[in-house]
Amino acid sequence: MVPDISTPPTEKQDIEQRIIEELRKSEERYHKMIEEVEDYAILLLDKEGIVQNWNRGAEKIKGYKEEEIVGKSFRVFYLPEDQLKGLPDQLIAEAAVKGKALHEGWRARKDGSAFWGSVVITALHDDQNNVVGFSKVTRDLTERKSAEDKIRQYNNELEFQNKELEQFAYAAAHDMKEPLRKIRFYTNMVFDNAGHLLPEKEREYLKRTITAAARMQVLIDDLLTYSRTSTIEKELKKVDLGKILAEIQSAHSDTIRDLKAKIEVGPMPELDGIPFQLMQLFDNLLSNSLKYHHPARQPRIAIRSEKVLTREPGADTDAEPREFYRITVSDNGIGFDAKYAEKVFDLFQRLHDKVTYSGTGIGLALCRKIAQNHKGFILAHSEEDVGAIFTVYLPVSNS
Amino acid sequence: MKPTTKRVFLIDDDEDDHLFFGIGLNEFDPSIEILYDNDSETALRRMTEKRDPLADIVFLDWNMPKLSGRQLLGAIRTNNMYKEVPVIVFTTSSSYEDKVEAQELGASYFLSKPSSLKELKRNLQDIFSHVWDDK
Repeated sequence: MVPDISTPPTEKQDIEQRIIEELRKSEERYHKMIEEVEDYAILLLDKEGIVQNWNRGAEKIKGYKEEEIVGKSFRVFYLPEDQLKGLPDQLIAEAAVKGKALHEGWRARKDGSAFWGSVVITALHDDQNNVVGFSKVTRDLTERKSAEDKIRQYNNELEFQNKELEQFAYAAAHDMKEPLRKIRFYTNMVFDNAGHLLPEKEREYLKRTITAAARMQVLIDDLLTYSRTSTIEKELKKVDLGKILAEIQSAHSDTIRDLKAKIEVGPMPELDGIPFQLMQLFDNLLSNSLKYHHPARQPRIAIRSEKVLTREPGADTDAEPREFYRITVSDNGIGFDAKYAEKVFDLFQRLHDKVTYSGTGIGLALCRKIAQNHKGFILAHSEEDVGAIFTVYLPVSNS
Repeated sequence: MKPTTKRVFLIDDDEDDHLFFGIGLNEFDPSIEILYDNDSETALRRMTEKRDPLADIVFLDWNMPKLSGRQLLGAIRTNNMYKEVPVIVFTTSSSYEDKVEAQELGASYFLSKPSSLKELKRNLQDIFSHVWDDK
C-alpha cells in the first residue's frame, strides 16, 4: 500500500472526525424528519416482520406508543380474519420477491377500531442483495374511503331505483296492452257486424272510441319501446351506419316517392353500437323530417357525418374532450321555434295538435335515450318555416 | 298421410283469443278444424301421445303459465314428428327481441295478435299462403 503523504496524520484524523460527525447529524436530521411526520406511519421491519422503529404518524394512525410496539410483529396491525388468511406474510413475501408490495384495506388500531390503510412495503437489501428487512409506509385513507363508499352506495341506490322504475313502466305498459287489444277487437267487431244498425250519432261515438283505443295502442307500443331501450343492455357490435340508413330509406320508399323527397346521404362511418337502437334513432329522425315537410316546397333531407373533438354541452370545462362522429340530419321542413330546441327531447312533448300531426311525443325522447346509451348525445336546431337540424354525437371509440 | 281436413292447434291460455281466433279462422276457411288448449303442459302431452302429429299447423302463445311459449317451441322442435310442422308464434308482444328468439328456436312465423277481425283474416291469409302453398 502506498502511504498517503499528502495530509499529515493529525489533520487526516480531524477530517475523518468531521465527516463522521456530519454523517451522524445527517442521520439524526433524517430520523427526526421521519419521526415528526404525522400523516404517514413510517416504520422499519426486520426480515421476520418485527417492528424496529416507530414514528409520530404511526402512533397517531395505529394508536400504539413506541415502547408498546417496537419488538413486536407487524401482524397485529391486520384484522384477525386477514391474519388468518396470512395477508401480512403474503405482503412481505411479495415485497421480498418484487421489491415492493402495495395494498389497500382495513387495518386494526390498538383500540380495536378499524381504519382504511394504503400501504407500501419496500424490501431493504444488504450489499450482497440479501433482504435484511422492510420499510413500511401507511396512510390513513378512511375519510376518502367512506366518501367513496357513500358515492358508490348512492349510485347503486339510484341505479336500482331507475331500473325498478323502468321495469315498472315496461310491465305496466305490457299488461295494459292485453286488455286494450281486446277492447279494440270487440269494438271493431261490433262496428263491422252491427255498425250499420246503430243510429248515426252512436255509430260516430263508437268510431271515436275505436280511434282513441288505436291511439292508446300506439302510445303503449312507443312507451314499451322507450322503456325497453334501456332495460336491455346489449353488447356493442360493429354497425355500418351507411347500410342502416339505406335500409331506413328503403322502408320509407313509398312516402319518399309520394312526397318527391330528395335525400342525400354522405359517407357514413362504421361504429360500435347496438344495431337495432341505431336503426330506431335514425328512423325516427328521418320519419320526422318526412312527416314535418313544408307543404310549399319539395322536401330535401341531408345526412352527413364528420369526426370532431368535443365534449358534451354542460360537461365540466376540465372534462377531457373526446372524439365523436357528428351526424347531422337536416331538412327544409316546417321546423319549430328555436325556444323548443331542448324541450322536443322530453317524453310526451308534442309541438303540434293531434289532428294535423299524429304522434305520441316519445320519438325524440327515445332518440336522446339511444344516444345516451351509446355514451353520446343529441342536439336540435331549428327555425320555424325554414327547417330543422338534428345533430347526433356518437363516440368514435366506445370502449 | 295428411288428413284431408286441415287441422289447426291453438295453444293459448287466453279464452278471448280462442274466441277471436275461432271466428277469424272460421270466416277465413270454414273447412279447417280447430283444436284448442289453454294449458301448455296438457297441450304438449296431447301433441306427443300419438304416432302422428296432432295438427297440420300449430299456433302458440308466447307468454303462458307453466311451460312458456319458448319452452314449448323448444320441446316441439326437438320432436322428430314435428320437424316439418309449421309453428306460428301468436303473441301480444311485438318486441324485436322476442321475434329474434322465436326465429332462433325454429318458429315458422311470428304473429303479433291483431286488434281486429279484418286484420286477423289478413294475417291468416298471409300465413296459410306461405306455409301451405310452399309445400
